[in-house]
Amino acid sequence: MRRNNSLSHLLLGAALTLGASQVIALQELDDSSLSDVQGAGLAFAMDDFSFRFAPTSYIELTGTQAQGAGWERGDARYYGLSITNGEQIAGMDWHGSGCGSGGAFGNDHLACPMGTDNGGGIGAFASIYDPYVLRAYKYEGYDYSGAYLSTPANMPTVMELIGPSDTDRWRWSFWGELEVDRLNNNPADGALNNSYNVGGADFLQSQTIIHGKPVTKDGRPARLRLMRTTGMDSALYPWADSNTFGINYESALSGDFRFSVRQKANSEDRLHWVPDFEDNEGMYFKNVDAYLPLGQLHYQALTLDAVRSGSERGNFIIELTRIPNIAAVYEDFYCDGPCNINGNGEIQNPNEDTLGYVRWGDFTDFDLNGPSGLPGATDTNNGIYFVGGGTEPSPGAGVTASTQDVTNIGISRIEGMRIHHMKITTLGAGQ
Amino acid sequence: MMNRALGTQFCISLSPVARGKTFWAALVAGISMLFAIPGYALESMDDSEMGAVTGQEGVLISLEYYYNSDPSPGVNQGAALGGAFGCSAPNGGTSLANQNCRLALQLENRDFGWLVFKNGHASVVMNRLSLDAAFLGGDPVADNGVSTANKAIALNDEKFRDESGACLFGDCTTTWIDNSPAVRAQYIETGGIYTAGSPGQPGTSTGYNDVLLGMYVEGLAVEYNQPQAGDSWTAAPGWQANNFGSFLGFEIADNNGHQAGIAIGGNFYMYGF
Repeated sequence: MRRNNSLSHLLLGAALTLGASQVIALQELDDSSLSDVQGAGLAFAMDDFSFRFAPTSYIELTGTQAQGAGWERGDARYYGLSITNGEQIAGMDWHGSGCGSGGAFGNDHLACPMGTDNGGGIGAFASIYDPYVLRAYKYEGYDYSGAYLSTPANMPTVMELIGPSDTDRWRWSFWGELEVDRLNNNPADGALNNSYNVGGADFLQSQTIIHGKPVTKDGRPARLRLMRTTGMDSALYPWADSNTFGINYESALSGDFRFSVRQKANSEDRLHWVPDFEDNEGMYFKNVDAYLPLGQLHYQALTLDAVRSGSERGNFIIELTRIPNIAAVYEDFYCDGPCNINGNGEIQNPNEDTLGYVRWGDFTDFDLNGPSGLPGATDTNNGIYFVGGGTEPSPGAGVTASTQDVTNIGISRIEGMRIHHMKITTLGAGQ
Repeated sequence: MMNRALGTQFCISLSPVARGKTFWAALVAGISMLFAIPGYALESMDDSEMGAVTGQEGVLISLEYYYNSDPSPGVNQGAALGGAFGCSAPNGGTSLANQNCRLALQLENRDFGWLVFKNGHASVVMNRLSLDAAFLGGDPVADNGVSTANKAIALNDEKFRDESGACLFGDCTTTWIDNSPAVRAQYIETGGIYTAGSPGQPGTSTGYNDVLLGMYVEGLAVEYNQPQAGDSWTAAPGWQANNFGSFLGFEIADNNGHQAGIAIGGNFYMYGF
């Protein structure tokens, strides 16, 4: 393996130009101080970081075609996208009317979508001791044609961004608005979230809150790699030279999740109006741990393409390319070194780096003690559970405390996910 | 990449502020050398003299960029430019063919066509980003160093080692990192509040102006250079074609304007090894 240092050197030079001492006046950098720089990578640390879209500001995805005046401007909106402090309970909501946990639903950090402690800032969003690292790197590995690349001359250069292995906990949140069938509705009127006004706009407003870290529970970071694919010119691919821009992404996430829709009794509940969401109601996922590797060096990558013929031309394709049907590549995909298979046909040395998993709940107790380690029917400290809504800010007609009952449906996990091929094609262009 | 932007404006202002050192001092020193007065020998300057140079203590960066959009302050800030040389009023049909406000991408070995962003405009305003130098682990005030919480994370020294385990960053200790210089960009979060609306008038956000970001793309589709048998259109560079409508549009805006308001806070450090 070998590093490609040119980019790092260039950027590093700029960094050093700007980054000399500020405590005393200008200091010269002599050869000896520069000799400490290897040009191996650029590091990025972030301290007291917070990011908040205004409650009324949004990212919107619109439909494929205009269906009449105004319709092309309304499908799905994501408002108030926020990344804020999650170490402390104190928080705020978009409506600004206050929020907080009753403490009974395991939602201390999930009642409020945004943290307010430390001004909302995340102290160790990326520590100086465990920063984001951007570097150009070369890795050994099989390419698409099954060739094993291991020399400095033939190993492809990969640009990679490696995330922290540990951070403070964050809150990530947004509120969403999905509008349908505008032509038959009055966009200025409510509402679907409650159904009192038949003939109003058909929409659903929701909030999504994640409280956790962008790393797995065992400290595996997220990684993004960009490269030019290698070896796609074999007979496996229909075009003479199909090498193109490729992306590998290892997604890592651990923490708790809440999705809710219910609004407080005095919330406006109108299209485009910032809702005042109920603080407890919703669907909860506790102790989630997920790792999903999309792409493997150098024989699988996310690539971008288009439909090339037929009636769906004009549409775009995102594809996690198929694992090449080559024995050596398959062995690498499944096994850590030469496959060791026992008499039952089971692999004894699986390749853990290609294994994705999603765990909705902490399985430690279950693995140790069996069924007694499962969460109880009303537990709120683990697994997947629902909380009914309705008592805030004060009980109204027909609303009692019992509507906030908890139903825990247990823990769930998917292990051993290896994605062989995935292809996403848009629809709508050329219609 | 093909890019037809008739209404593009770009502006950066650099404002000296009182703290930090290097950037302006280097700039001023360079300019001074160019304008040295003939007849006098060069004289050395010591640190204290350099310390008196105006603007030597860091810079504030404010930036505005308008792509096919209106830069005038007010309700139209960030709106699409209209007229014969501007964008078209979106109608889901002919407006997608607008040639003034489109951007197209082509990836390697995808040269049969272009991914075309149709009838779009964008704008970004960045207010008062502070750029300065720092010692990573120094005092948060005197050295622009990080907070105690940031240093509470355990050292992951593998980040700074090569594949053989050799350290690439000093001796790969926290002490070494603490004493390393870095570039620091800082936003002091200015925050914002939401005010609920009245009947017929949605609520408004005020503040949230560290960054203003507007973006609008009416349609997105792949356009091809060559027709297939049975097509009624003729060959033309895909980046200027409009034969396939759209599969998606998107927008970044505010309910009450053409730009989303964003509050950003924090210190960003860049260092190399």
